[in-house]
Amino acid sequence: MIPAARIEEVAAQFEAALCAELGATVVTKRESFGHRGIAFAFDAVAAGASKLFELATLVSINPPLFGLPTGAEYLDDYATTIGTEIALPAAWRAPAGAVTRMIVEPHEGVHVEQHKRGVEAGWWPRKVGHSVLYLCSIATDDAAEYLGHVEADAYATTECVRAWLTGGPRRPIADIVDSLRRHYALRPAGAAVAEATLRSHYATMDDGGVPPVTVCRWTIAWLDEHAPDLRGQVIA
Amino acid sequence: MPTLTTITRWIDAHALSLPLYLALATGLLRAAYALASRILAPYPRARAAVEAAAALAPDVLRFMQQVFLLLTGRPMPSTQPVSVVPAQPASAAPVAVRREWYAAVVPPPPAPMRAVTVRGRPPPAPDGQRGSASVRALLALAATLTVALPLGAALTGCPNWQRPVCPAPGVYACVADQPAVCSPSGEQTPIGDEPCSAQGRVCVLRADGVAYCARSTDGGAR
Repeated sequence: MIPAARIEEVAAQFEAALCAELGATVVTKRESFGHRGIAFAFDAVAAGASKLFELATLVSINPPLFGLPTGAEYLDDYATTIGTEIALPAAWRAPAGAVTRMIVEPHEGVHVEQHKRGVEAGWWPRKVGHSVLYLCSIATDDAAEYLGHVEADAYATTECVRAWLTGGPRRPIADIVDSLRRHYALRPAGAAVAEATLRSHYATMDDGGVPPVTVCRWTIAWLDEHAPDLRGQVIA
Repeated sequence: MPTLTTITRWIDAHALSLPLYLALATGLLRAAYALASRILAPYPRARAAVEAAAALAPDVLRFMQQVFLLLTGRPMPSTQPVSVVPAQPASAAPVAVRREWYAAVVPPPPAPMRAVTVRGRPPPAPDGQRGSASVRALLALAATLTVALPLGAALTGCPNWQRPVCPAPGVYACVADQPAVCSPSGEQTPIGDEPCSAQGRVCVLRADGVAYCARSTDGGAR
């Protein structure tokens, strides 16, 4: 049984090392003016969508429902990375959230790396290509495939780190893809790419390797070097 | 004088903020338009000038009204001025004040019948602006339009993700020692972001066709 203080110590050191490696920062969502604004926008859109839904049903149109979070859910239940800033719910930054941070921060670190690396996206500058394609994923199949690709890389990292820490089984691929469909409104083309990507990553992990994702490889190497006593001993 | 390069650099630097600026500008312009219309209502020519300026911009509200009319055959309900009933003065108030209130609230008695010809007025034409709607619903609709318009504008600029073409969707491959899969759109999609050699492995195809990073000592088709 690993003492909680040791887990908190490793989580703090890991966060500092990850931020230094990627040039990232970690903030608390409820303390960020920008994220409070986004939460307000989610609530406003939900209210507006509800009225438009009412209007549409009056004329016998049943528009598709989008699984958008409420403002409170956005602030308290989700981690969000914008550029190089990783924003976490307040509860996850408390000492009791140390294990959650160690599992979630590598996932978000993958998105920081994806943002910094950029992507070829038509006439858009390479450095904003990641954000533009990510936001467009609800509108076009091409962008949905990009979202499926980047999220599958990030979720494979999550499962790799979780398995390293807990020694437990990985989350089933179908479960992750279903979650992407519901929470990211991922189109079928994107879901197909995510599933194929996860199958490859899981095959690599089944063979004793880590997914070929830079941040994942760096994270496992850091944990092997700085916290070998935690391997397979953490209860998530 | 800003050059094209300067402008391009500015857009490049503010690409993430631009949709936000557009949303803000749209909201401000619509608020200014609503205010100007209200103030200039008694002045037809000034009002026409405002309407002419507004007509140069996309009119989302009118679009919604016309779509509603198209689907239902009825004009969309809109706001109706609220009639204000003056408060009844106290019984101790001066007679003139109470008489004024009575005249405002109680309709005048019918005039005695006279043999006069009253020129009839044609019935009022249907007015699409008459009716009533919840102010909260309108506010919610306005907020949605303020967000939806710039978002829609931003989405029209959605780019393609530039990848090499591949012949068979769903088929894996090893490209430059990195797993890849042919996407449903027929483009070669990388898996991960680095070659297998970064962790001392090699990309191979498993018996079931899945590409992955295997131990270098493993056999397998490359």
